[in-house]
Amino acid sequence: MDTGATSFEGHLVAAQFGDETGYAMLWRELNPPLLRYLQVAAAGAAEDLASETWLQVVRGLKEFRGDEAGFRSWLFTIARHKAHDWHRQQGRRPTAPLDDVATAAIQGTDNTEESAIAAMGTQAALKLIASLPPDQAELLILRVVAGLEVADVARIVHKSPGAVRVGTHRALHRLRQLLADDVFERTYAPEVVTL
Amino acid sequence: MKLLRNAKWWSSVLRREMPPPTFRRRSVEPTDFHQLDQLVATGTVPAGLDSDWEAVSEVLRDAKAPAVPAELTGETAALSSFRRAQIGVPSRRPHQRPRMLSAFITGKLAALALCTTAGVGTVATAAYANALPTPIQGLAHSAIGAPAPHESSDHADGPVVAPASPPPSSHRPEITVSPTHHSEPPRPTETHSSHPATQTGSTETKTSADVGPLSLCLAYHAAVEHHTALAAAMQARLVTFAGGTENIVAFCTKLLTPILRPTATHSETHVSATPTPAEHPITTSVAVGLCNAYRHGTLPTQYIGRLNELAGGADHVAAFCAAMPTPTTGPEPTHSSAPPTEPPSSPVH
Repeated sequence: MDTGATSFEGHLVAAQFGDETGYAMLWRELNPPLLRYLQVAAAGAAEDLASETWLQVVRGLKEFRGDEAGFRSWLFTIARHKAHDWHRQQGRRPTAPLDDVATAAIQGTDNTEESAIAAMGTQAALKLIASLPPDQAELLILRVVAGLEVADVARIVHKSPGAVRVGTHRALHRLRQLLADDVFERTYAPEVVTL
Repeated sequence: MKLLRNAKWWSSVLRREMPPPTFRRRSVEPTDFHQLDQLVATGTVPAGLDSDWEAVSEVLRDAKAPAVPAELTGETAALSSFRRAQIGVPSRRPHQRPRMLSAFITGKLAALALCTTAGVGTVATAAYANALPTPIQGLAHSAIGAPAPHESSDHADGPVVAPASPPPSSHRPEITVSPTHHSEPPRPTETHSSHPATQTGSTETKTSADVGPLSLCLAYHAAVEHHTALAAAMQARLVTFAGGTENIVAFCTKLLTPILRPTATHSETHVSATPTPAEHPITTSVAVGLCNAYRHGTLPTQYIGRLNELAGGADHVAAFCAAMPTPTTGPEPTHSSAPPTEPPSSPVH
């Protein structure tokens, strides 16, 4: 854990000094969760908003002072603002049309069976989470996928830590309920094999 | 097959119409709190929770599964943006205008970069050797040889570099000051042996690779900007200068930043200490280089405004460039020849 944090922050400092490798390491580590967050928070614009988020990170990188948690918080704060701006422009509530994203993710892989299945599993999980009320889905993604602590999430979404915990727990209960409703369908899904 | 069955059983939920929200609004029992926190943190069902939470934990694990290749396909573009930012190329802020002096120097660098990437080795070398005015070479020298004569962080926070609209405070998390971030920038390399001054008098064959680190970095900048590759010989030489491929960006940033982004102090000092004739080579080379690129349709958008300024307006660019010499044999090596058509320009404000 310590070594991971140290190496992340080493990459962060390197990137702040203009080192491309350092920046690449940050990007590889955080672009997947960023994309996943945006797929839930702004389905249909995830790729574009992720690029815009990274652009803003690059602009402010030299001025950033903080550790790994601070950087993650900063990144997802920017992404959240991008998602909100996007929704304002779209004039509609978040929806969950993740099929295109899932298909693209699978087609974009090297088509080994494992990675296709992995992509399918991740995208299906995101789609399920996206079917939760938007506030709850966001909390769950920020906690689980972005790996942020309660206090960090609270700052990002402008809620109290207690409200974040309760909201996250509600999301879990809803998820459990959703899955329990399908308890008799816990069977092998044949169309997955065709992927 | 086990993977399929285990990981995907709940995907059947997704295949059917989502039911209307029939959930009962249930309060979260306080006794759940720590266990659910644990579930979120670890992705595994802690002791004390029902086994049907396994399904939830499986969804959470899938949601944070390792990256799939499709999520990493944008890396090239992301690194390109990063590189541009390091060299000082604005990504999407066309409204921001650089200050006059730095704009001039940028134009100068553009001309050099264009020359070098065009593969005209003699042009590049001649421009490099003769056209750099003393203050700029001094800056380059200090950037190459002397370890950080001015704090690089000062440059990074300088007025030219500062984003036009820095992230508002609401976009910034609370951050802790970490003084180690100001640690020593990349160590100086052995570039002193290949300083421009030593190359000026060189009798070696002037190939495209036979140029100094500054020209190489400019060529690298231009190549990055045009999404092309650096010539192999130049690449190899640059790797040598930088002390490794992975150091190129840091090396070139260190080299170019003081020139691209002089602080107010440096600008004033060097400009006021420079006799006006030194301005002519800058303007000449800028004009020749920009016009050459303009003719070939390879002028980067960020320099179009510069050319317009030099020409005295967008309408005059064609006539202005028609009067410029075509640098097939390189720019005039004599630093005293300024083109008569050159409009008056004042880099100092």
